[in-house]
Amino acid sequence: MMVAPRLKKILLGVFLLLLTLPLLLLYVWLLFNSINSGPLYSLIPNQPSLRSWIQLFSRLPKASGMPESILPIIGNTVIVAGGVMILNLFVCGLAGYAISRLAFKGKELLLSSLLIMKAFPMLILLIATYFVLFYLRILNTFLAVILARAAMELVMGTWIIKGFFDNIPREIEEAARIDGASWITLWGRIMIPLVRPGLLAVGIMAFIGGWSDFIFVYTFIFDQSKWTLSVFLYSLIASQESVDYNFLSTVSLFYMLPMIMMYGFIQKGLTKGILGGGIK
Amino acid sequence: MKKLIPYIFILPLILLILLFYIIPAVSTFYISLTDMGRSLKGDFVGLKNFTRMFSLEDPVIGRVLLNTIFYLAGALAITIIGGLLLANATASLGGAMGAFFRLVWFLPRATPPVVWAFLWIWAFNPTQFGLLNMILSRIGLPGRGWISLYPMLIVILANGILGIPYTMTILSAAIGNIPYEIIEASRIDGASGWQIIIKIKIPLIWWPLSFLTIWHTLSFLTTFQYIMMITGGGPFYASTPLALYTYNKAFQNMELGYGSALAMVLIVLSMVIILGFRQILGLKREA
Repeated sequence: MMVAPRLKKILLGVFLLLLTLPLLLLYVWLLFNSINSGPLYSLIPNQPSLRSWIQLFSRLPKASGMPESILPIIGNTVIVAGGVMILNLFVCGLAGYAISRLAFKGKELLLSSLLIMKAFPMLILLIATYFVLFYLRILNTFLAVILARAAMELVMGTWIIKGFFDNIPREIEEAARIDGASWITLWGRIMIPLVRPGLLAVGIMAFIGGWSDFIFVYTFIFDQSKWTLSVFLYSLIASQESVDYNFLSTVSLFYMLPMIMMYGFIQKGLTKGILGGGIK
Repeated sequence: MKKLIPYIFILPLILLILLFYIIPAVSTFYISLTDMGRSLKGDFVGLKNFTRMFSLEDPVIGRVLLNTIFYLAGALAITIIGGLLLANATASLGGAMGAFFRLVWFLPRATPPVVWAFLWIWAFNPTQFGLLNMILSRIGLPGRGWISLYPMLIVILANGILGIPYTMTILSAAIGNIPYEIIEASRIDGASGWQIIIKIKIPLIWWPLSFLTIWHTLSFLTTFQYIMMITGGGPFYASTPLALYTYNKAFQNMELGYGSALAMVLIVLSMVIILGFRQILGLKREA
């Protein structure tokens, strides 16, 4: 019994569409609500309006205990995301090179602990991390969030950068060393530029990690003046006052857009990086 | 001097590992033996926190452990089966349509956690503003308070679906790497579509499949933020798994000692899983 291949494809398409529709609906609804005035009771915007987008960038809707302007919140989010990115590029760029190229005592131990940490869910250590940050006296600072989030992202990052260094022919390095380049020059001027694609991927992943972080900001930051977009949005959702769904959708979309763009940018490289060497 | 150079390169990495993995892991054990509270100072109480847990002196712990098992099994099933199904179906469909479906199913991964939680809270909102209730009212059915009626189911769906993009992406790549001749040969030999999936494709992608299963087991076991935002673990612990219970004990009730004892259970469980499957998690070591 053979079903015609064409019919089979159509059936498959219908099946996929049914499976995907609820998910698609969620995002379409988010979009339509953000460009409507008043909550939607159907699936089509009945009063199209850019009201909440204008509100977002001028004066936020009045609600008790909420900030008045979005700009400092965006600024804080960028500080956290940028901080995680810069720290991770620095740490992974250095360590990835050493692990790939240099010989040192304890390298085996470091490699096997990195392997375990790659799978180890750092979130379980949250209570003790809070304790450590308390003793470092950096609770309620951006530094606390940046350090913790960077620590969470850097195992994967080091691994990716190490892979990129592994692929660079050793002759390049040897030639430079014969020419008398110092270690720092060799690393900074010659090796680092050669792994630029790897740094780009790791940098973007770190930025996304910092940008989307919720639990660290929520746990380690107490002042409203240091809120990031995630905690701001969560406070809006959790606030007991009547919720403006148009505005919530707009904040959500605005918060989501940079992440979608960045993922779109690195998605191909990401799959390859994760699979690289694993499946052949 | 020259011998020191490698250590300068790895120093920042080592410092961060010490501060955020080693010291917290050791401190968790230490704190779990104290009655530490809000002041972040505590007296040594020996194994009291652990006996409180294991002798079921804590009346909700049984419930919480049961929740953890249901949640883990449900979310894993959705993530793995969903990802496998979508990777296969989009590959068979091919072309622009396949790419379109993969794109939509990648969206959850590109959604910040708070936004993802918000979508679920909103979709199942008990008022007429909720997406589901709105659709129901359009076809003349009454709305309901979905989140308090089926908290566990919603939490399982929200987390399970969130895992699909990762599973689907990796499995798509793995399926794409299967030589075309193998599939074609078995088709000529008369294998049906399902037979090809179960007898040929799945064995050939066994490694990524087990990697993803372990990875997500660890991830579901320890993440709690979506549950915290969507149901808050309630009503009455109905959707509280161990990880969320740990967080709430520590940061809501400020019982850091007991919270750390709970965290120790999660740490030991994770280490057992990781060491048990080290070979697979090691991406075959050389990668």
